[in-house]
Amino acid sequence: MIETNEVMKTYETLSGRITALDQANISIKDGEFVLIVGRSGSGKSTLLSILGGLTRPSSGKVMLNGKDLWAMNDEDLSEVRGSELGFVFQFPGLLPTLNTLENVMLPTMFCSKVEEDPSERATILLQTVGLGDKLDSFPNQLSGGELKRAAIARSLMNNPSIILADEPTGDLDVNTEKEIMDMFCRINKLGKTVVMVTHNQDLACFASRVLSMERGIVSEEEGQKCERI
Amino acid sequence: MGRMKANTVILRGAKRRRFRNLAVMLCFAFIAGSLLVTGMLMAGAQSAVRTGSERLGPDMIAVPMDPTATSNGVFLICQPSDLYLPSSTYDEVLGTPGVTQAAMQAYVGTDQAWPRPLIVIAYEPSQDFTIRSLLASYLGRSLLDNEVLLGDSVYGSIGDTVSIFGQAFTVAGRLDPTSASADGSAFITMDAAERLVNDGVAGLSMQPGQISAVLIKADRSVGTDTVLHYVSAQNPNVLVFPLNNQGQGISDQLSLASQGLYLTVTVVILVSLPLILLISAMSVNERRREIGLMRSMGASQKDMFKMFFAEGIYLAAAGALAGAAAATISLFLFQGTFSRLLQTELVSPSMLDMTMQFLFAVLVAMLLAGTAALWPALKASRMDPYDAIRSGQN
Ligand SMILES: Nc1ncnc2c1ncn2[C@@H]1O[C@H](COP(=O)(O)OP(=O)(O)OP(=O)(O)O)[C@@H](O)[C@H]1O
Ligand SMILES: [Mg+2]
Repeated sequence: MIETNEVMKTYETLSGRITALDQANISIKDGEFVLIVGRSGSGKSTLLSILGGLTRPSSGKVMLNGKDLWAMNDEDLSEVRGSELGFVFQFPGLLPTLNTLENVMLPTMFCSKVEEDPSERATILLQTVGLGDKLDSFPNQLSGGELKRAAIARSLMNNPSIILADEPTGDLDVNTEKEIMDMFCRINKLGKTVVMVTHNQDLACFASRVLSMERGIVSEEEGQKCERI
Repeated sequence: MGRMKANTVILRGAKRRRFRNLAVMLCFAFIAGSLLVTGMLMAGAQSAVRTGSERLGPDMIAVPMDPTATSNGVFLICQPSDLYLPSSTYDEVLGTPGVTQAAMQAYVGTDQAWPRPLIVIAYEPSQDFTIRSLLASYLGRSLLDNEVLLGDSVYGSIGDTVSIFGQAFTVAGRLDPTSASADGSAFITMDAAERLVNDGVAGLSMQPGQISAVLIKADRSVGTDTVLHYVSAQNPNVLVFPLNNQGQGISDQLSLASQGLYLTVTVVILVSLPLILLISAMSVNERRREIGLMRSMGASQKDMFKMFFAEGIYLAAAGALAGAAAATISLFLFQGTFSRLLQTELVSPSMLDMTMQFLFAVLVAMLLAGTAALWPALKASRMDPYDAIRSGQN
C-alpha cells in the first residue's frame, strides 16, 4: 500500500523554480499494476523516486506499508528500500566486475530478509527469467534484453512487495519489450505491486490502472482497453 | 556461498580501474618508501656517527697551564706529562656551562721494568667515556682497583697477572689500536693510582690529589668553540685545546642530508596528496550511478561511506606495503651508494629498528590514506540517490 499526501517536488534552477511534482495525492493498493504515463519532463521519474525513497519531496507525506518514508532516518529508509522495494531502471545497471549471479546477489550485501541461501535463490530467479545458462557470464557478454532480465531478477532478490520500474523497456525492440512486460505481469500475478513509468501509451493494456502526468500534476486515466493480451 | 560481501565488490572493482588504482598505489608506495629510506638512512648514519664520535672521544682537553706547551706537546690523551692540576679542577670544569661530560686522567708514571717502558695512566671508570669505547671487547662493568687495561702494543692476555710498579694487576681487557700513545699504555683506576702513591712506590711522578688532564665533551647545541671559551674563562689555571673531532662535521653534514631527504618526502607527499584526492574524486564521480544503484538496493549512507573508505585504505595499504618493501630491498642493494652520497658509514640497523621504521612508514602512509579517503567516502555517502542515478553514466 502506497499513499501520498500533497507531495510536492520543486527544483531551484538558474532559470527559476521548476515544479516537477505538484500536490500529488495518489493511492496504490497491494497487488495493483500501475502504469505512470506522460510526456518527457512531466515528472514521472520524480514521482517514482519519491515513492521509492530515493529523493526527498519538498513537502508532503509518503506512506509505504504504513510507514512514513520521509520521517525515517537514513538507516531505516535504506532498510525499507532494500527489503520492501525492488527497483528496475531504464539502464540495467549491472556492475561490470561481477558476473550475472553475483550481480543478482548484490542486494543481499546490504540487507536480507530472505531465509534461503542467496546463491540458490539468485540461481532460481535467473532461471525464471530465462538466464539459467548465463550465471557465470559478465555483463559485457549479455544482450540488452538479457541485461534487463538480469536486472529484474536482481530487483526480486530480497523478495520485495513492491516493484518500481522506470522505463524498463525504454531502449528495447518491440518483441523484447513484450517479453519484459510479460515478465512484469507474471511478477504482478505473484501478488507483488508493480508501479511502472513509461512514455509508451501502448503498454497501458498490461496495467490494472494508469496514472497520467502532465507538468507535475497526476491524474487518473480511465477506459484503457487492452488489445494485446 | 553466503551473502554478497562488500570486499568482493571492492576488490573486483579495483581490478577494473587498474591504471588509476595503480597510480594511487604508486603514490602511497612513494610516500612509504621515501619515509622508510629517510628513516633508515638517518638511523643508520646517526648510529654510525654516535659510535664514531664516541670513539673519537672528547671534544677538548683541559691541561695545566704551561708557557712552553705547544698544541702538539700537550696533545695529552693518554700521554705522559709531568705537569699536574689539582683534582678539584675536574669539578670546576664539569660545572662550566656547556660541558656535558668530563673525565679526569692522570699520568701515574712510566714503569721502566717492562721490556718497553710502560706508560701508566689512571682514569676514573665512573666518569670515563674514552677508554671504555676503545675496548676491543665490551667489559660490561667498571674496572676494579686490582685490574688493568692494556694498550694494543702492550704484551699480556686477558686474565693474566702483570706487574705494574711491582704490584700485581689482572688484565681485564685490551684496547683497539689507536695509532697513538694509548697503544703503549696501561690503564688503572684512580683509586689504584692513589694506592700506589700512598704505598710510596718508587718511580711515580704523580702526587696525591693530582690529575694531568680533564677530557671534555661539549654540548653540541652550544657549540664546541663557545664551550671552549667558557672553560678557559672559568678556569684560568688551565689551557684548553680543541681536539680534532670529526663527529661535529659529520653530524652537520648529516643534518643537511636529512633535511634534504625530509624535504623530498614532504614534496612527495605534497605532490601526491592532491593527485590522490583528484583521482578519488574522479572515481566517485564516475561511479555516481553505481552509488545510486547500491543505495536503491538498500545501501545506507554508512554502507557507502564504509565501502569507499575501505577501498581507499586497501589501495593505500597495498601501495604502502609494496613501497616499503621495495625501499627495504633497495636499501640493502644500494647501501654503498647511499653511504657514499651521505659521505658517512652506514651501520645496518637492527631487526627491531628496521621493523619499527617499516611500521612507522606504513603507519604514516595509512594515516595519510585515511585522511585522503575521508573526502571521497563522504562525497559518496552524502549523494542523493536519485541525483546519483540521474547524473551517472555507466
Ligand atoms: N535535479 C534536478 N534539477 C533541476 N531540475 C530537475 C531535476 N530533476 C528533474 N528536474 C526537472 O523536473 C522535471 C521532471 O523531471 P522528470 O525526470 O521527473 O521527468 P520525466 O517525466 O521522468 O521525463 P522523461 O520521460 O524524459 O524521463 C523536468 O522538467 C526536469 O527538468
Ligand atoms: Mg524519467
